[in-house]
Amino acid sequence: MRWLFACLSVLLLLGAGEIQGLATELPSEWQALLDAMPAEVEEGMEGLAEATDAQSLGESVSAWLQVENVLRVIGDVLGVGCVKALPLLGSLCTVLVLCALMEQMRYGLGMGAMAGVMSFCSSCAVFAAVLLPLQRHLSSVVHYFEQLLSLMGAMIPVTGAIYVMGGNVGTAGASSAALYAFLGVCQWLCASAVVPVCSAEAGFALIGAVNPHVHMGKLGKAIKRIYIFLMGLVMTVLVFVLGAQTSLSSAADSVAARAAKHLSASMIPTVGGSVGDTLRTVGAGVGYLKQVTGYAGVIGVLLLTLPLLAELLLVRTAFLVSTSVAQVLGCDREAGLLEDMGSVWGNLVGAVAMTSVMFILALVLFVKTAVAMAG
Amino acid sequence: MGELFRIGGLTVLGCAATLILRALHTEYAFAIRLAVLAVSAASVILMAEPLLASVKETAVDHGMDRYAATVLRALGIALLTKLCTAVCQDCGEGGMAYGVEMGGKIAILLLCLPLMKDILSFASTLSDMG
Repeated sequence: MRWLFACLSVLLLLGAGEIQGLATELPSEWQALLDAMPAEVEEGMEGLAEATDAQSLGESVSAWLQVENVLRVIGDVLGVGCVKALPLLGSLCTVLVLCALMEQMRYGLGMGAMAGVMSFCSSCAVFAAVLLPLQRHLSSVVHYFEQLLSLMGAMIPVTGAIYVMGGNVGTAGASSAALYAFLGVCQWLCASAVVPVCSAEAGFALIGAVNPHVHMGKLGKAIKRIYIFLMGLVMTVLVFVLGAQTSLSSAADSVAARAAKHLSASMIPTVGGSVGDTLRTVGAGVGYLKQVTGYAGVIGVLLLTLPLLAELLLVRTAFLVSTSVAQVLGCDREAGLLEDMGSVWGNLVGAVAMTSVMFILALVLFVKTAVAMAG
Repeated sequence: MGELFRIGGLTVLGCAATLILRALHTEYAFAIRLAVLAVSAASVILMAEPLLASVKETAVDHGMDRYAATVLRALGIALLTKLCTAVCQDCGEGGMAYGVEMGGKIAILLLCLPLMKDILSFASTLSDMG
């Protein structure tokens, strides 16, 4: 909860043009906000870590918000993802070449009885090669969900306290609190479901690759379909609730909004369409954050949520490319395994996108409430 | 290319010698067969050495040396098993051929043991995470 107050106080302090005259000492939890930034991005934000009061922080932010700095940070975020995705692609291609060699030996030289055990060996090698990145990404995603869930869990009672302080316990307050609680529950559902589903899918993919006669792959696909259905249902209800409520407004429909929706639907698997439907509300919310906190606050929120999403998308792309390489090399069994692993990463991307959208909506609601009560 | 001609020529000469000696001294025919097989196998391994070195170097560059070593060893075991099986079957010893095959399969499964341990430890990590 102290972290939450630190975030809010810093975001409000960063309001453009409001902090130049202040010399307020920064809260001690400001360091927690910097610690939450990815390390690779924090390196580019020098000056912000050295700020000791609001005035020096404002000067650092003004100096930092040059176009080249912002573009550099965006490049760093994407670069971090590429640094992790490209070596994975290289490793997978190396293992696939070996498997193709083994495949050619198996059929070209007529290995006969040895063919089965050689397939088992190559499938184990490919799966073992993807284990470490899968484990690392699952840990990152779980940590990300824990951070967001703790924030969401803290926002609800603080919002209630702010309403009580402001004397507003009427219908407006109740509806916003209900929306808050709904966002919290949805986020908890996503975070709780994604790791077991991904684990089961990965396990069934391995079984199917090692022994094609055991049709566990179909069971894995059934679990994935149920998961997609449930997540799609959650997002559909969210879109309906956003349309019915008045606390969060939507941006006007425009070419840019439609383009963003189409991009979201094509890039984010499983729930991309539903996430695209909420982008107008997210866009309006981000616009409100910009009015309150300036560009620095918006960039800070985006830098908390986008690096992991970018990294997962790039790794998923690496899996898609390696699947094509496996098919070209004639390694059909390994291609099926890599395709299933790409689907696992797709589930991770969908879950992170959903929870990021819900977090941004909840944060906007919180800032609106706090600003309204302060006003 | 020259190496291939040498191997091919040696094998054809060995076949001719085996055919001739089979009619006269069967035991010498078997010895000739084994000798030609051993020399051909050694020549093929020497011929494949640059390819194996290149694959190993690429695997080390991408941190896949452990998996590459496992797959290459499995390939070597499979080729050796196939060779021995073929010799046994040529001699009409199907039972011995089956024994060699079983040995080869178990040897490859033993090679895969560290990979299976990695997969099982990953599975237990996932269950802790869930």
